[in-house]
Amino acid sequence: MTTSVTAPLLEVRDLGVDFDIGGGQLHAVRGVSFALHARDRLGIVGESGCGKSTVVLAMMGLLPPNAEVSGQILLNGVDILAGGDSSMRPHRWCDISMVFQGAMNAFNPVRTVGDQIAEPIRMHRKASRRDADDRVAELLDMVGIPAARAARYPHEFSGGMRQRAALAMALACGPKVLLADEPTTALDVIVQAEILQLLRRVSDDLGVALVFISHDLPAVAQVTERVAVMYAGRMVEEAPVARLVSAPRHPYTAALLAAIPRPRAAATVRSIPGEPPRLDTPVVGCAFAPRCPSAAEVCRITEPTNTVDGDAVVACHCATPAGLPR
Amino acid sequence: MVASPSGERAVSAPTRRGTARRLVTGNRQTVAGLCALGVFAVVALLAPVIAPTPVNTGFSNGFAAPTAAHPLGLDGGGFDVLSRLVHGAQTSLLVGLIAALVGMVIGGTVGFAAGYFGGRTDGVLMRITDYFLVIPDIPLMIVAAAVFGQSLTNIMIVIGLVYWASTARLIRAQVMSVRQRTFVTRVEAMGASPLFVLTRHVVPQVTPLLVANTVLMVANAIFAETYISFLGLGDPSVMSWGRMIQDALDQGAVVAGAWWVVLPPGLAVTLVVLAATIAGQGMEDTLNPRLKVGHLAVRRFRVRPLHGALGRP
Repeated sequence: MTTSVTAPLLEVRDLGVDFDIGGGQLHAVRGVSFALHARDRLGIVGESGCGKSTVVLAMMGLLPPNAEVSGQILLNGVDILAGGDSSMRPHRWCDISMVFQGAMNAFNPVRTVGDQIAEPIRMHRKASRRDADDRVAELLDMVGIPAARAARYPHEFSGGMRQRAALAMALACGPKVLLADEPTTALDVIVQAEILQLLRRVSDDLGVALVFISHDLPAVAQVTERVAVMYAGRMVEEAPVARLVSAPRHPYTAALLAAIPRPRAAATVRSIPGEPPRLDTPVVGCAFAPRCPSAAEVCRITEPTNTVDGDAVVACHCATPAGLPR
Repeated sequence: MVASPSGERAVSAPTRRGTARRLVTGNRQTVAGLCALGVFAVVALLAPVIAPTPVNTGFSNGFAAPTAAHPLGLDGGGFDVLSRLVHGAQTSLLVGLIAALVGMVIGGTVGFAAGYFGGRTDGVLMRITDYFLVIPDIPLMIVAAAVFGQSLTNIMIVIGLVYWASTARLIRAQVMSVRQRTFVTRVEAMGASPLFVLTRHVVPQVTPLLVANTVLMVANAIFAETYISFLGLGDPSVMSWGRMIQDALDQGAVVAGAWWVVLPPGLAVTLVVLAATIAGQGMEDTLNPRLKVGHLAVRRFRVRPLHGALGRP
């Protein structure tokens, strides 16, 4: 459990991202906060467009120029957002690195895989070619790829191997925090399971804190200890996996869980009626209220605040009391 | 060995060396064009050896028909046509190559900068490019020749300055598309400088296109040099195909029925321009897989058999 008394390795405080779109603003992320210690694994789930990837991109400083970031991202207590791009740069890949969505696209097709894994090493460590090559072999070995494969081109790798290589690349500079943005999309289930296992092992072995982004709650549950559910740019619930799955407190979480198909269950999959709100106008009240089965009058007027409930945080006026299964 | 159920996919995605080789040998059209250009290059290099007489050796009988001593006859001034033709090849090829390189360097630099940095840089560079695109090229060349003097160097620079704009547009578009790819974002996430991203990741992807475009530009440049010389604005101290045609016109070769004076330089220009165009277009075909699809190809019309209900194989 993450009830350690030491200061967290990474702390995101009240992160907000607004995009300037001709004539208005799009509030992509609002008031996202979480903390990670070494070896902590946090999953972030939510439907498309809920701001999961935007959070990750903000942490890497990769948002387009029309994005405005507010809040703090503290790495060992130092706000890396404060000094703009120049204060972010030394941390990139050395402290916080990332596995991109779609490993095929994360490699330049005209350069060898080893060459590209070596890039951050040579860039940040000023390592010689030979040292970098040794490190590449070590990294590939760690993710289960024969070192001789380093001289191959990305198209000569299978989808799973490419994803492993992308992971090796992310670990090249020994980061403290690893962000994985849907690392298992477009992979078949067996390879997907291998990659999930590998992510767990790497985080345990190297003491890396992991943020795992996915829309696949079961996949997230296999890897992380805690899960945060995002809806319309906000974190609506964050709790340990077991507790979130067995006793969801936010109605959206409960609806998400109900929407997971279960092979042997007789019940049909329940979808959530309606659509997520538009993010280019300020949301009044709870963003989920129009689709919420248990919405009360207060939900449409005031936005719920984050309520800490033991080891969970939930943002709902009528959250189901802890421990009571819905 | 990691056993992966999806296995190795035999997709022939381009490798760097592979692309370079494919660019030159991947298309029969390219090979034919480059071979023809090679023949002209050899002739130009060996001009002093091949030419039956030195270029400025005059003979008395103007418009003498071809004989064994003068395989292409004599022109109105009594000069050996074959000698002038092979020496003219030197000028034409040199101007074509250098002017195309000038255009490639300027157009490439502008295109890479505009495409990569975007925003205001792109805006400023593209407005300048637009300006060069709308300047009518022949009047510009005439003015430049008149103002800066009729030297070969000036002609090469002027032709390069006229033709860089379209290259810049092309390269910019390609760079913008590469820039959007995830691997560029990934390298930026590593904290790489723009120069690193450009030289290591963007340039290798776009260079084959730049090369193909430059070969096409050689054809334009040779043609431009020919008409500049024909208009009498070429370097008077060197022989060129355009000047041969101009001399023939001045001396009334057509009226005199001396076809051997007019035809060789005209044919030579046509063949060189054709060879460069064929080579360049062949390279374009190799690089652009869309051109291989029948209904998308601009030049090669081929109806491919449809597979399956939606025409997908």
